[in-house]
Amino acid sequence: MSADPASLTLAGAARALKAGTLSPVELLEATIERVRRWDPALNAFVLLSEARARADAERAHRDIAAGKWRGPLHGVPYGLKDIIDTEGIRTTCHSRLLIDNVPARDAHVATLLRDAGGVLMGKLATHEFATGGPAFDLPFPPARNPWDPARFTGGSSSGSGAAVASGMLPLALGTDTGGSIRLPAAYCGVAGIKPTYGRVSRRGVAPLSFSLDHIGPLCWTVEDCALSMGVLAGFDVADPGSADLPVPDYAAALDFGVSGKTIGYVRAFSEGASDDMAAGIEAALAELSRLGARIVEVKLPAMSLFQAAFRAICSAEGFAVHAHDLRSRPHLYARVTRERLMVGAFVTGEDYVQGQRLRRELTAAVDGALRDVDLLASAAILTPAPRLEDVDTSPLRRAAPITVPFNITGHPALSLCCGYGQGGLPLALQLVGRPFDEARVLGAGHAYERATRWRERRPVLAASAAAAR
Amino acid sequence: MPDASDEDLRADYQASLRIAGIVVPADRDQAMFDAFKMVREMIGALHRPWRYDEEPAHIQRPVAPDGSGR
Repeated sequence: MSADPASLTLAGAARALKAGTLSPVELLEATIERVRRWDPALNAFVLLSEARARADAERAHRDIAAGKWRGPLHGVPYGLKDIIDTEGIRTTCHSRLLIDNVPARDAHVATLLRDAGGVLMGKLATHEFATGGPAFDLPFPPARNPWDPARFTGGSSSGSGAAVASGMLPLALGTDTGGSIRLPAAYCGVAGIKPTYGRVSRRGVAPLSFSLDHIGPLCWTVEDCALSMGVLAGFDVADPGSADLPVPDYAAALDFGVSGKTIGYVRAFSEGASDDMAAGIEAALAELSRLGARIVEVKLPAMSLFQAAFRAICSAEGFAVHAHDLRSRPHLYARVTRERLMVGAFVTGEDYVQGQRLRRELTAAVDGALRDVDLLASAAILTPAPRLEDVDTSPLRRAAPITVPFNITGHPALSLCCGYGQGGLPLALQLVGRPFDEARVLGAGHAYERATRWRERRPVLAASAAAAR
Repeated sequence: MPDASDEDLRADYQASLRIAGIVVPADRDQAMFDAFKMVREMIGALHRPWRYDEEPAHIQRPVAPDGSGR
């Protein structure tokens, strides 16, 4: 047993809980202590739901003791990005507009985690309404990166990345419209998967862009993501984008490995990467090759086309969601959120339809590339985490993140740590699979993680927290 | 709008705001106008003549990819 049970991975905690060498209540107490100690420096939580967590943990303790173990999430603490509805627990979208919003029902994913016996620790910081950027004119401060609290976590699932990287939580849910799971996973050095569009229900989650929004887990390891996906994946008739397809055993698929697989490296997507990031990606590909994968180079349509389609679709759909509030009470948004949403007013109906038209072609092109290879690979980010004050908060960034193409196409995409660069900040690889083939993506990521030692290094919180003060 | 003058673009920008019914604070007007110009330039790549026979395949609700490479 670890000296600090709160630092266990999800898989490690699940083994100890099932074996009875750790109780959900002990794990909860250790987690609360960790959150109280570290969150004041990291701002990952906007709400600690301690009463609910105690009730969940005590119920899990009774059930497991009675031999009613529900699976690997039973008794395990988790957090939800604060755009995910929780019955009776405030859900603000990190915004003044919803500061008193207490949903009457759980989001579908919140119900799934509750039914799996998880222990809800609280609601996690996000960029306001999952868009905008880090802002200081909101009711809650922006989350900070555990590897260096002066630095950006990535977003918009900023609290999810910070909570997992710091070891406060083994599992946090995020949402991903243009990279909002994979970017904080990358900048914070954890694993995060955006499943295939349609794989995880979005019911009860505040929309940003209904045709681009995805939900998925952030965890310390790929194995933990696979265990979480086993609970989260599945058809939901109430989500019009949900896919009625069988869900594989993701945990069993972790043994797939990469031997004999072909991985297509999309070199053009890594253009402009910093030297340390480029070296980290090359080393990761070499490691995958050593594990038996065949690495080939693949060309996809130009990034500028993915970005143009993304801009038209995301801006138009986001504006539709927020138009009423942008007209009637714009002062309640943070400046960066308000301006980025207002950009949707500059997109015409023709732009939107042309964006959807191009999207079909781009999706077909990625499907075509994945007929010749098993997986695609690229960098997940171009540089390690920037300092918070250096993050672009202008109304429109010229270059969207390199995670965007797979929101446009809907393919499953994983970000995982592939080393540490300048200043000890995490580097990150993105692996992309065929539609609904999360299993192969997770299997490859797991094989890479097992072959490397990156998961043995955690942020040094004592030093980093002191630096933030 | 490759040949539009800055004056024309500003008129289009202001019309967009008026039609959308939103107000930009004066101290943020230039930043938003710059964003308008950037969006129009970026999205210009989308504008291609329509092939009438492709309409049914493209005008439908977004669905999960099926790998068919259609």
